[in-house]
Amino acid sequence: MSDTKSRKAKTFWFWLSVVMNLGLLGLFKYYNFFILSFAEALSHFGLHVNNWTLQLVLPVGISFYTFHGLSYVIDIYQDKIKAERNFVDYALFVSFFPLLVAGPIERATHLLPQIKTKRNFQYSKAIDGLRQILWGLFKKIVIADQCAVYANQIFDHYGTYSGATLFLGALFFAIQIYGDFSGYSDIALGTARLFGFELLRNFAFPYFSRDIAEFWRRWHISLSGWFRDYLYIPLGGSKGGTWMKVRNTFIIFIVSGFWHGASWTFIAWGLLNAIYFLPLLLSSKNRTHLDIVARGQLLPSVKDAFKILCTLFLVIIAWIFFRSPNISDALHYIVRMVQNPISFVSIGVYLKYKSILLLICLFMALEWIGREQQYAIAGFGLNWRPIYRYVFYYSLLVSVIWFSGKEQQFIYFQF
Amino acid sequence: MQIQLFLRKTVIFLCVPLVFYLVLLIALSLQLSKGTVFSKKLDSDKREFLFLGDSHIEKAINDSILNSSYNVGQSSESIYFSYFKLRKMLQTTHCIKNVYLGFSYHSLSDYYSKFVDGEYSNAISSKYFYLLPFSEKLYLLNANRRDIVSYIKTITEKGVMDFMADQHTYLGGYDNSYVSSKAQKNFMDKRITLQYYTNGQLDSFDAKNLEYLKKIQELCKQSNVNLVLLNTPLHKYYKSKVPDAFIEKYNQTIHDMDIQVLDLSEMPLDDSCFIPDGDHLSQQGAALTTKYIASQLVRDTAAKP
Repeated sequence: MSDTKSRKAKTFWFWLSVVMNLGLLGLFKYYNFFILSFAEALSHFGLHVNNWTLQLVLPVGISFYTFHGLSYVIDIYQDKIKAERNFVDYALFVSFFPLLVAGPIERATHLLPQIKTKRNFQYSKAIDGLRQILWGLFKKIVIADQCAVYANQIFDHYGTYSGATLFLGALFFAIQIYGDFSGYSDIALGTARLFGFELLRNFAFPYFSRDIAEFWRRWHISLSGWFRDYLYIPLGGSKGGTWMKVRNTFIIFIVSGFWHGASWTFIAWGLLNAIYFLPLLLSSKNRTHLDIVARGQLLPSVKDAFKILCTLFLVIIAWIFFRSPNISDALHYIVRMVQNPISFVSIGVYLKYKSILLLICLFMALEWIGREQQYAIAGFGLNWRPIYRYVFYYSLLVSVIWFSGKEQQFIYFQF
Repeated sequence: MQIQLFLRKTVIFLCVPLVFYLVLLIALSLQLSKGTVFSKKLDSDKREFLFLGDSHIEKAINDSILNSSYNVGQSSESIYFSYFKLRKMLQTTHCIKNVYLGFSYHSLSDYYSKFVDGEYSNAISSKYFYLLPFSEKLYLLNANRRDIVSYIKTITEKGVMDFMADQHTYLGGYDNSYVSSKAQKNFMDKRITLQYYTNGQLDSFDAKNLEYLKKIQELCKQSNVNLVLLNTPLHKYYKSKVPDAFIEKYNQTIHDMDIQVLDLSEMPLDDSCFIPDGDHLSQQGAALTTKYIASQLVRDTAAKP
């Protein structure tokens, strides 16, 4: 594709590559979903067909490295980079182990030049990498896995819990998925930094966002960026008329939901986020909050705090669809959650979960303090006396060891 | 140079908690292996009758209504752990004259190995870890090597808790919360399956329990302590379901060992004296059994010249 002079031939090779990449992804991940949905749709008309489902094992992280590889092909097609002639360098780009199974989704334009450049060991970078790995492990093992215990219990038996408990269940899942995925990203970024590589940042304290647009600039940044550059902008972005904006917004969010898995719950999650986002886009307020909240201040203003809580609430509602096994359960969960608002003032419910709530508060406080850094503890305690700093690091290390042993699978490994 | 500095600092960073942990583990081992808790509990009240064993003893003997007795029975305690517990008790106390060791048909089943070095080792063997000699500690660490972090965490947690509370998880004692219960056939069937069968096949005999039963007999002889095997009451339906092979092995074992046995497995008791599994006694059953044993002890004492 890179060598061909003819635009027509170049386009042919480009589409061949795209179809092959997406074809493999579709076969492994979406084939059964489409077949089953098709059969179910026909059954409504009284037609019954044999289910031609395949019993294929889904390769770990297939969505990540497919998109990873696609970015390389698209960048060549768009003449942003030249094709890589060194097979070892290309293989390293595609299969760089820290990001192989759950991202961040790297760009050829970002990672390949680093691979080609000679790297020298830098003590400060390596220490920073270890610090980020430690923080990632803390987020995963101490925060996410502990929240998972309660979230699983509540989601699996949601019919027996009060509204307040169901809200806490959804909150626990919101913290779980953040700790789980951003924890993995921190481990990946830290590991890569040990080897002198800087990977794309994947999370930027999304739960401190003041609106959904800001949330999506801070959550799974490498995927949002990928969709923005390779799908949203080629579709016309937000430059067309209102209809074009609405269409593109729905496309990008639904595809984003579908990327997570072949299930209607993920599509509903994407759809709900599109509904959240659309009013901001149509009123041209989607780029209101570009800076970090309350920069240089200890606490946010009342207005910002209110906006953060409202955004978090919307995000939590959307996560219920993401976590539930089907749309029906998600809707029942939400209905049960809101039908008895009196239960929200029951102190007993919160006391029952006081340990995990205290842990979450501590975690969010650390995140808040470090929100101007690349990751929460990047600069935390660097000005302290070494003894205090090491006590802090050892506290994290000991708690990671203490809570280890019953680790949950990383949620994003399934994608 | 920079990479050497990095490696040196990283190793030191990781070694500090490791060294700290090893020191903590050694300190806990030294402190908790002393077994001073036994002399505190037994010698002060001159308890000469000791009841030792698993949940059958734990639930059957209410030592508060039996003079000069002490129940140290504990759920899932295999004879292997009872041996080391008794050894430490005899080393640290002076009042024990009679040991009643829980011994029943299920004590012979290989299902007990799960509590020593099998799937439940983490929860059960960790209670006795500090009581064991070094070689046995290594044996248990090796048995739990697949989940070593979790095992080390459990023994540390239990050790620290024991040390802080001046309690000992290996001590055991009478513990029975069943007040209005009764034996139920479906639970008894499940219990029989759990204790004697794996995947529909009859379990083999537990060689370790048999080996340590003989060791307990020798230990009692050396310490001049009277050893009695105590088979606590069983519900008649439960007993009828015990596989013949285990009944034969039980009879053969006590015959070969030439040992005193107090077999109450056919003691006539109402359904309400049992918990649903028919294998353990309720509070009511425990009271009747303990009183019966008390009457036996009075009779034996009176019979002595």
